[in-house]
Order: sequence, then C-alpha cells, then structure tokens
Amino acid sequence: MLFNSYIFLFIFLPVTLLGYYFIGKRYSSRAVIIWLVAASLVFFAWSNPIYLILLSASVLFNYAYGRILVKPIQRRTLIMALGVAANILLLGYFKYANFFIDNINALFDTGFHLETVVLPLAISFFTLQQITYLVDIYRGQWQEHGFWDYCLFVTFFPKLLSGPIVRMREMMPQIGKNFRPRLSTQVVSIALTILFLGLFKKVVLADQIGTYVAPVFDAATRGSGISFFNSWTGALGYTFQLYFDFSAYSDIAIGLGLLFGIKLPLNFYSPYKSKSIIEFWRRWHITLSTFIRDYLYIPMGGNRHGFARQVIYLLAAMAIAGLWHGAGWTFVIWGGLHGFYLAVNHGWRRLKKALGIESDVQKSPWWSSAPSTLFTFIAVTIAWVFFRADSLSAAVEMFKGMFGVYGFHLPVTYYAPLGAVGQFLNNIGVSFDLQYPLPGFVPLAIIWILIALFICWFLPNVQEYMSDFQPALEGFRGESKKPRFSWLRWKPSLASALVVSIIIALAFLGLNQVTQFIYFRF
Amino acid sequence: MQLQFKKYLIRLLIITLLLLVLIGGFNWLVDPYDIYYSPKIAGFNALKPEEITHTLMTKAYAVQQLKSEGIILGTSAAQWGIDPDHQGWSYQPVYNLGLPGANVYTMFRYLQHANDIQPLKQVVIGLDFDSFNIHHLAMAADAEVRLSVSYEGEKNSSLRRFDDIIATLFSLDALISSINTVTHQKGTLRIKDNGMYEIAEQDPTNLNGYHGINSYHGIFSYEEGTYANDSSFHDDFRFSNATTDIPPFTYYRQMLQFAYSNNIDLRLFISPSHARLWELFDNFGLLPDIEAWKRILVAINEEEARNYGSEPFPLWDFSGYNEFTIEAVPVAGDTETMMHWWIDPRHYNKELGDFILDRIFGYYGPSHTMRTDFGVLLNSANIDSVLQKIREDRQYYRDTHPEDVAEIDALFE
Repeated sequence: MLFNSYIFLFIFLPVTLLGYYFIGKRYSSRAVIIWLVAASLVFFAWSNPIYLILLSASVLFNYAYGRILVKPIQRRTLIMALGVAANILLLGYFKYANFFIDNINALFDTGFHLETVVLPLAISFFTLQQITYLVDIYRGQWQEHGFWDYCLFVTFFPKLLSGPIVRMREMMPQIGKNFRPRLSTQVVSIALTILFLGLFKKVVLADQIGTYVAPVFDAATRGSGISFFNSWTGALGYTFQLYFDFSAYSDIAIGLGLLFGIKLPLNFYSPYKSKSIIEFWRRWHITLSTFIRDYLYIPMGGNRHGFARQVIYLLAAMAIAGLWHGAGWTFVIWGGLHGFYLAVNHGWRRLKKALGIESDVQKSPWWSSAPSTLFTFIAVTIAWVFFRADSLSAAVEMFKGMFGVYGFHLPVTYYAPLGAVGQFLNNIGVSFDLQYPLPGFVPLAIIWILIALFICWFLPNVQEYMSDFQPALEGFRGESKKPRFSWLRWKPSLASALVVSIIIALAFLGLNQVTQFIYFRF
Repeated sequence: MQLQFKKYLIRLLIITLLLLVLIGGFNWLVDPYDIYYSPKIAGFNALKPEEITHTLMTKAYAVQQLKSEGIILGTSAAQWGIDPDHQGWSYQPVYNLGLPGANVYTMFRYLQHANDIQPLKQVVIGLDFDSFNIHHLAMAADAEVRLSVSYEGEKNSSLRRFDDIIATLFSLDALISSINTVTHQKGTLRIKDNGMYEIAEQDPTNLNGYHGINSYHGIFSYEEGTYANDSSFHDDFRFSNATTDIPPFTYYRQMLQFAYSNNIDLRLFISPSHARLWELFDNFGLLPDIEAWKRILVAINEEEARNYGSEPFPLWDFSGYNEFTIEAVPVAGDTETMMHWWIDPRHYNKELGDFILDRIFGYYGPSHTMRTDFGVLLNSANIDSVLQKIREDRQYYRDTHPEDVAEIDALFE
C-alpha cells in the first residue's frame, strides 16, 4: 500500500488508529502490539500477498536465531556470520540473481537463463534491519523483548517500505511492557502536521518536479543528444525530486510512528545544506550511513590502518552501499564515486591537519562556507546522474550534454523576450534555434527548480520547524539549532493552522491526476 | 495547552475543508476541460486552452452531450481539416472526434462509445499511416473506463464519471489547468463546439500563431525536424511482410464489422500530406511499408464486404501528388506569404478538407467546384496502378524540387 493513496489515508489509517485507540483502552499493551503487527502485515500484503510468506519466514528465522545467539554458546562469531549470510543470500537471490547471471553471461559468453525474479517489497530494508539485530546481539547489545515486540520491530508499517533502519536499542525500550498506547490532541496535532508536510513534499514537490525529469533521462537512454540546458534541467530536477521523495518518506514515517506512540530515529536532515561530503552522509539517509559505518566500514578497519587502507575501505563500503540501492553497475559507480568523494574529503582534512591549518568550515561565516556548500551540492548532483540513468551509456549521454558536447541551444522563441540578455548569450555561443520538443527545459521546470533550491538551502527543515516538540528519537548530532525566529517554529496557533491547512489541501489535491497526452502533436 | 491543540485540530479540519470546497468550486466554474458546461464568461474562461492536451476526456463528454448521428474519426489531421458542417453530410448533428495522435484502437473505442450513446448513421474515418504503429496501440486505463462501453461491448459502470469528477475538481493538475485557463484567454488555437481545431485570430506578424514561429518555412522545418527526431518512426512497423491479422489491422477490421452490424454509412479515406513529408518517410525507409499498408487496407475492406455479402465501403486515397500536395513552401525568412492548403506538412486546412468531403460525398457545392482529379477510390483492381503512379509522380517531384528534397535529407545527416 502506498502512503500517497486514498485507500491508505482514508481507510487503512483511520481503521488502524481506531483499533489502536480502543484496544489500548481496554486490553494489554501486548494486544495493541499484535494489532499493529496485524495492520502492518495487511499493509505489506496489499499489493502482493504472496510475499507475506517470505516476510514471515524471515522474521521467524531471525527471531529464533537471535534466541540462540543470545546464549553463551561456542563459536558465536561463526554462528553470527552464518545468520547474517542467510539474510544476505535471501536478499541476494531476490535482488541480484538476474544481475549476477547477466554479468556472467556477458563476461564468459555463456547462455544461462533465469526467469526475471521480482523484487519483493521492503526486502532491502527488512534484511538490513535484521542483520543489525543479529550483530547487535552478538555484540552484547541485547534489549529485553518478546516475540511480538520483535515482529513489530521488523514490520512496523511506517518504516517498513523505506526506512528508517531502526536498531534494537532504539525501538525495544519504547515497546514491550513499557508500551503505553495513548492518543492526545497534542500527539495527533504534531503527528498529522508532520505527516502532511511529508505528503506535500512527495505528491506536490517531488512528483511535479519529476514530470520534467523522466523525459530528459529517457532521451538520454535513446541517445538523442540532449543539449546543455536540457540535461542540466534533468540532472538538477532529479536531484530535487529524489530529495523531496526521500525527505517526504522520512517525515511521513516519523509522523506515523508518533501517531502510534513510537518515536523513530532521524533519517534525513537538510543534506543539501552540507558543507562537505562527510557532512552530507551525516544528513542523507542517516540510518543507512550509520549502518555502513557500524557494520561495514569500521569492521573492515576504518581509519585504523593508515590513509591508503582507509581509502580502500571507503571505496568498498560505498560501492556495496551503492549496490544495495539497486542491482546495476550504475549504482555501484554511484556508490564508488561517493567513496572517492569521501576519500578526497578525508585526505583534505588530513592534509590541513598536517599543515597545521585550523579552519573549521562549520564555524566559518556564510560567505566563506557558501562555496563549500555549492561545491558539495554539485558533486552530489553529478553522482545522482549515475543513480538515475537507465544505463552507463545513458549516464555518459547526460554528462556529454551537461559539459556542452551537444551545444548550448535555447528555443528561438526565447530570443526576443530576453532582449539584451539574449544578444549577450548569442555572442558567447548560445544558439537560439528551432528546438524540437526536447524535454525538460521549460519555464515551469526552471521555476520549480528555483523553488526547490530555496526550500533546500534557506528554509528550516521539518525537525527544526517542530523543534519545540522533539518529534524524532534523537536530535541531529551535527549543528542542530532552533530557527532563530519564533514564527519559523511550529506551535498550535491560528497562523500554523492556516499554513498547514494549505499544505494539507494541496497534498490532498496531489493524490489525484488528470491524464494528459504525453505523446501528442496538433 | 491541551485546549490549544484541540482548537488547532478543529481549525485544521475546517480550514482544509473550506479550501477544498473553494478549489473544487473554482475548478468547476473555470471548467478547463469543458466537461461541466459551466457558464462561459468572456475573458475569464470562454477559451479553453487545456482542452488541447486533454482531448480524450473533453471529446468523450462532448459527443455524449451532443448525441451526434454522424462522427469523424481520425488523428489531428482530421481534426484540423474535416468539417462536421459540410453540406454533403446526410445527417446532423455531426461531431469531429479526431484525436491528436490517435491510434486505430482508440478510434475503434470512440466509435463504440459514440454509437452506444446515439446510434450512428454516418461515419467518416481519416486514416494515417502512423495510427497503425504496432508499438503504439494502447490507451490509458482511465480513458478506457470513461467510455460508455468496454472493448468487449459491455456497458461500463454508470459510476464511470466519478473518477473524472474527483480528478477534475480535486487535483493539482486540474487546479493548474484552471489557472492556465484564466491566464491564457488570448490564445489563438482552440477546439470548436463541433470538435474541429480553429485558429481564433490570424495575426499577420505571427502566421498561424503556431509555436510562435513567424514563417511557413519555419513551421515546416519545425515539424519536419520533430518528425525526424521522433523515435516512434524508427520503430519497426512490420508492414512489409505483414499479414492482415496483426493487431492494428484487427482493430481496423473490427471498425468495418462494427459498421456493417450497425448499418452505418462508413466512408474511409487516406489523408493527404504535403509532398515533403513523403520524402521524410523515405529517409526512414518507410515508403514500402506505406504501400503495404494501403494494400492491406484494401484487402481487408474487400474481405469484410464478401463476409457481409455487401459492397466494400468506399476507401479513398488522397495521398498522391497534385497541385495541393506539392504547394510551394515559402522560402526561409518569408514571413508574408501564406499557404493556401496547409497548416504544416501534416495538417491540411478546412479548405482542402472541403475538397476531400466533396469527393467522399459526391457533393457539388454552389461555392466551389468538385476537384475530380483529387483523390482516387481504391480497390484491388487498381491498387497496383495507383501505387505505380504515385511512385512516378514522386520521382517527378524529386526532379523538379531539389531544394525541398535536400532540406529534408539534411535532417538525417
């Protein structure tokens, strides 16, 4: 079931909430937990019930395995490793089997054939989450919990499909015997406000910007020779589409979690405000970064064996993280590129330290940190091209466009309205010609990108907006500050009600579409 | 504090509902897709520019409202050129159901739809080669349920309008369309009540108000360049070795069968295009496919006639070479000279469309004389000679218009 559907918002959510409220009033907290597990399974099974078997089997296996691992047994490391391997194999089959076979065939010119394996919903997330569970038990970070608590820990619907990846110590203390289901007007106010802010980001911002992105990347796939302005519109558009999409899911998860009495960890914190790539990964998909750090990078060796080894570990960990996002070389390259960025970033810091330069970009005034922010943003945008492109050759096409190989073309109709600017552009090599309906570069797309840029760089994020009420499990560990002006902080006032109502109304409108001709000519 | 939160939630609910009612009301009043027949106020919502990109929806409801006894099916070409008010029609009212980029499946579905609302007596179908592209035969699911009957001929649910109502009153798209409508009341292109395209104002400094391009040469270059870059023409049409039972021809056959079963006076014609367009198709290597396509149209038409023990429906071909289709395109930079018969290389205007209808209906009007040299009735006996003549005429065109041919060829270098 999708968060941005009528069925979720108007049937599933109210029914689940009513059940939660009435069961919570009359019965034990365990009954409420079972109710939430049942609701989560319905949520999961809605589109494809067959995978319920897979999810259930995985949950049962890992729960039982955890019970074994918690005992003082021989060869714990091996047993833990086998458990982790079982999870990886399951994910490997469903997500990577086709990719693997295709590459084998391409490499050795063999003809193995495998029917396309359909990727079950949520498998990437519940696999990672259960790996952390086994490893955390192995590391002695046990938190008391029962079977149903574990089921909710894995399946809780607000985070099941797109994270955050929750750790045992983050969730278990909130449920189990301590679970006190309660609905107050305060909780509902805060939770709904966050939920709809998130929904707005998804159905209005991400989806609207997305309409200008797909045609550009499709053209790149066909190799249509996209010119400079069009390809940048596509690349920047995707940078913001993905931002709002993911930011939206993170908000919706936190809002929904709150509604059901469970605070979820922060997953997203204005990543495009980052002044370095290291900071970017502290703000983008925070729970995944933490996973990569705690379960991949540090166990490999981290920075303990000198810079050269650190670079290798960074590249490897990020390439694996890339592959986790999708079974394709473009994802591996995306991850590897970020590994490279991180290595440069760490190297730069080492160099500064060695030279005894004590400048901290975090503390410098805006005019000296702004170039860092811009540079980081552009590096991230370039990496996203790999992430979005259908193939390596499509990514190369995009870059050719972005670096001017296919020229700098604007529609001839823009020339007269631009006046002197048009003449200037023409003089420096921009050609104004009859432009065939090539995608992307239209006035509305530019306006959306500017709005998105403004929101990402200059507005407080939802956590900051709601900072008087601490809606997420932990605050951001970097520079976290309440907005200076109190009107930029949410409170249950008429003004907030007005602003949030407009957001809700627009989010409601965004749930539905009127189909247009995509392909038409008159 | 709790009281404040309660107040907040109540305010949230009331303001949100109020906003939604306001927006829904606004969308109803503006009626950007012209499906509610709300009052039309000059300078506010009288022109509906959004219809042009939502024609599937607009026309499904328009034909329902009009209860027409005759319809025109086809692509945008028919929508530009074929007049429902031509004197040759035997029945009225007639509605132009031409749909931009329509494929033959969509045409069949709208034929079913129109006939279910009001049994049809007369139908004219303009046939274009690319409507038969086997890779582009789909229609959106929401467009399917909107129609009165399903493809199998069963009644669609009477609740079918509900989705459209929600979407056209309460969606961001509709709101954007409404805002576009009230802010673009000076546009030049519109869809008339009879379903035809119309250019509202001819502005001599802005010929046709078309893409903001101010010369016919510019318009032709623009359109030809667009076609040259259109990936759908690179698709394999698979007509050269086609059998008559591949999907696009199945739908064509079904249209014929539908006309026989419902006693519809059906008339078919292959659209004219400006001669430069055939040069473009030649660069795609599609001319043999176009010939094969014509042969199959003829074959199926005669086959079905035998099956129903009846005369074949008249199938006209206007795609040959004549003074209309070789009309000189003004040279680059000429912003004065108007063309007599063409909107652009693909779309003939109503004046040329009237000559087509004169021939189809055998109508001798008082204002102009029928052009008996324009268009030929196709049948299995003459198809070879017709195709042969077109080939010869094309060679003559190439010999006499080297600049035009060179311009087209340059698009493919």
